[in-house]
Amino acid sequence: MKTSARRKQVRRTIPKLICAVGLTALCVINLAPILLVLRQALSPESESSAWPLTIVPQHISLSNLVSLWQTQSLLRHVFLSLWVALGTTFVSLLLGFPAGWAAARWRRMSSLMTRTSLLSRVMPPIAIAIPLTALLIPLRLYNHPLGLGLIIAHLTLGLPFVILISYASLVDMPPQLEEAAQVDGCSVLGAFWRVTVPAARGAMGVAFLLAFLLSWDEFTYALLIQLTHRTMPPLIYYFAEFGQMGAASTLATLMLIPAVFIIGSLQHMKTRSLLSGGWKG
Amino acid sequence: MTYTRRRTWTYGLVALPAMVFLALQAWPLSRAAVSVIIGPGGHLTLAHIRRVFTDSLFLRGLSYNLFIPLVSVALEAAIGLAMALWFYYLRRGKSLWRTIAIVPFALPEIVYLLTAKLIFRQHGYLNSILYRLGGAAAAVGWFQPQSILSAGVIILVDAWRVTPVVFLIVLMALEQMPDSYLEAARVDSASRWQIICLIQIPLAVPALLVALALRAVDAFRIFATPFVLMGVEGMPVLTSVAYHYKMEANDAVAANVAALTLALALFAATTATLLAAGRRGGGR
Amino acid sequence: MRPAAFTFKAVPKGRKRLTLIRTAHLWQLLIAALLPLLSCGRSVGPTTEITFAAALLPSEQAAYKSILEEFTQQTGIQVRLIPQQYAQIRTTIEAEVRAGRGHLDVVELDVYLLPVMHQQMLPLDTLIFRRQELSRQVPNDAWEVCFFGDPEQLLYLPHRLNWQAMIYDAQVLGEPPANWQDLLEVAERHSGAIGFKAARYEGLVCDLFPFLWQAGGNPQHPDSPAARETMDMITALAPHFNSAARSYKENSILQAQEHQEIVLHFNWPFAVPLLRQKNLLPQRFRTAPLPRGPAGGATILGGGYLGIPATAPHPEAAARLMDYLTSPEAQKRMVSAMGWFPVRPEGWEAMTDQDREDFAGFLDMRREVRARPSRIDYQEISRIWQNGFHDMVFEDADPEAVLAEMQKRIDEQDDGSQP
Repeated sequence: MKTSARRKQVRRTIPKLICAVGLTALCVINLAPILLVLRQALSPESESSAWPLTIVPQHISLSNLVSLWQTQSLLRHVFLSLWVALGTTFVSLLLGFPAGWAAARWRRMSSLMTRTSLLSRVMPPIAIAIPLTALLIPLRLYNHPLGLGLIIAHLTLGLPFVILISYASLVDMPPQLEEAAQVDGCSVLGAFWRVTVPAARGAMGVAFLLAFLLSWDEFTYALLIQLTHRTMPPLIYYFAEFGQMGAASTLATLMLIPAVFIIGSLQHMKTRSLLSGGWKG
Repeated sequence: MTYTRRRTWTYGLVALPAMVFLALQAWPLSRAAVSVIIGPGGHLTLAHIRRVFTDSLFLRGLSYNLFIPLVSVALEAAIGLAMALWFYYLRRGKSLWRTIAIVPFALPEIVYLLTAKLIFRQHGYLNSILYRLGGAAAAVGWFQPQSILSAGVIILVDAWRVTPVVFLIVLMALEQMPDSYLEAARVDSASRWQIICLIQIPLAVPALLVALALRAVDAFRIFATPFVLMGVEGMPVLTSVAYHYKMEANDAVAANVAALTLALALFAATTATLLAAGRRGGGR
Repeated sequence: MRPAAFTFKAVPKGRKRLTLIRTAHLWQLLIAALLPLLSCGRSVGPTTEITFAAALLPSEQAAYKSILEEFTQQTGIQVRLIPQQYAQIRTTIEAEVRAGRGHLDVVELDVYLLPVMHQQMLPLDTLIFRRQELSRQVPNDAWEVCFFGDPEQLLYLPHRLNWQAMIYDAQVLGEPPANWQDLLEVAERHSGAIGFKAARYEGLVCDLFPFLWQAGGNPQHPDSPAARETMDMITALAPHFNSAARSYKENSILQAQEHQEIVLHFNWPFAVPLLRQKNLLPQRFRTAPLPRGPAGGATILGGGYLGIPATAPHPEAAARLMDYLTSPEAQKRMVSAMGWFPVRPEGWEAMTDQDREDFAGFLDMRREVRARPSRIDYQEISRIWQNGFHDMVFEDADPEAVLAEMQKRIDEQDDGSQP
């Protein structure tokens, strides 16, 4: 009797053990990027070409940050990334949110809108980027110091995204709320501004954060359009190409700060209904 | 009637800037298409297309661009489904583990790829561990140019980054499944494995297919992962071949040919899938 | 949700005000973020800032900035240095000239791009006043490439000169291979450890053309016995290349040698200070002349040349910078700080005896430096050779057929009928 009970106990703990091992492995693998990048950023450049490498750094120093500051005008790149991301987000929200609302209210437009946004999503960025550079050059927007050409390119990603999110969140909202406001004397747009926008604040907030992240992380367009005035992702790529892993990791750590912040705050928001509308990237 | 018409006009005006901008995307594409078939004399010619399609770099890019996405999507389907089922049966700390599971997709792509480069490069962390265990002979050339091993590494890195999307969609579908099915199965004293295989997986398949359709599109237009990790020569795919033509070989027309080949293929595939899905039932 | 609660009158005043305040804060944040950007790159008062794009390695940037600081102290002109690869400097210049407005004042271009870009550069005759003095100091062949047009105008000034030599592992090989025969023998003994920059870019041509010249060939005639002899040699050597050869560029091939994956390769002088820093040269690695071929020795001319794009916003200040960078003091500093080869004879004085020993392989080849074809469509020729090389070496195509095809394409280039 005792042996069979013990056997049952063993049979019950084995799956638990496998589960625990699996979860630990998942934790290690998924958090490794953040930890490795931090480790590389906080140790001097000479350690990245040592052999063999050690997972625990032998010296901790801020020399990477200091040398980046002295040679690279670090602030310029960070501000350019920030400016392009904010610009893209604002324009996407300004143009895209009303468009999504119009699609949600006017059935005939909804299929056109969703199909166009879907097609934009299917397009490979490089297919647009290459002829786009030829178009931006005479407009003097290619390699612009304030990244205006890049903002236009990022809009091709951000706008469909915002449209889909706003459509998905507004399609479930009963139109009676707006109609009630119109009965009280608002125009259609007035009802939109006074009733729909406050009600959809949550969705707008989520769209703002995700669109910001979309532009902040974007690599392909930034690589092709901004040659001398670079945003952070291509800069990280060039440092990694030249074997300067410490500098690349320092920039990567700086890039992580808004990303982690945004993902953390998104976890607190209810995003289930919005996730079905559109995906980042 | 005038009230509704005024409303329609408002909707149209409000949506106009966005629609115009989205339509403008067609302009660079049409210019690219024109540049591809017009020769220097102004007449139609297939010479550009022929030049690119006989280039060995482009042909290799084409074959890798078919192989890598197919295997990658299959891997994502398997891992995503397995993880979703596993997480469904977790008892405690679901939200914490869910957050950890999302991390690869939530990180900026270039940061994730930088880590992969740090780990897998010839003198990176993985080879350091192997060196300590087995000496100099144990180090493996993970990024050997145009080899099956390096294709495998790229597939693994990319699939792992994207699996959280599939995982989340399938997990949502599992959680929204009505309890009545599971209750009925339990009443019939079905084992857990039977429940999983005969009820949950089949009911999760539609959601899985939607997720995979999304990911398949992104997998075929893959750019950053092979480009950052191995460069154009290391693992050519159509997007990086187009980049090489434009930025390094200074040949914009060849770049357009490569990029448009990919775009047309994607369009055709998406339209075909949408038509098939629409015909099967309801459609989106 | 009750519809009545969401009418216009029901929106409380407090919330509207709060939204307004929040919007104001957001605008303040935006302006604060914009201010630093707006203040960059503008001339504040009498000091001008010029932009200088050069192909500097990250390891060279700190030393080069100190040279630029000397210039700023002497003249008060600030210099903003942008490190870029040559191909991208070229793309940026083309874009700016087509747009009619640009921000680059001085650019450094690789010697093979000089004919390609000459229509986009500003003539320097009225800006550079030390022209006569320079023409006497700079070696003839390096000075001739600075002139283009009819009548000939001065468009470029040489910044640094270099050429390729062989860097080999003295501990493993003992003596370096002196000719093609020796090279093949070394390759057979150390199969898989021969380095060759076979990525599809200009560096491949830099490794290939010296072999062509050493056989007495000419890059503009691939369908010649000399070219066939060269490609026979290369295809005999290719099986012994390191398997990563098709992705090698200057940096990755140097790292491969540092990690002892290859025993020899061909590279530019920049490699020597880097290897010295890691105590690998001359302890383990040495430099040697390229192996001689049937028609003698040859190596390829490289180097950075300075020019002013046609759309430069500050041409006079740019010319003063170019003047300074070609002066004896600056050239001596470049030699001692970065191990560059100088443009003028005084520069060589700054070379120490240790330098002369370390750079011995390079210095021995000083008289055998050859330039690439000086044509405006040079990049097409280079690409034809790159693709031909890949077909013959990696795709196992028949060399006769490929060389004939290459000749056909070059002839089409000459006729101008290539689409």
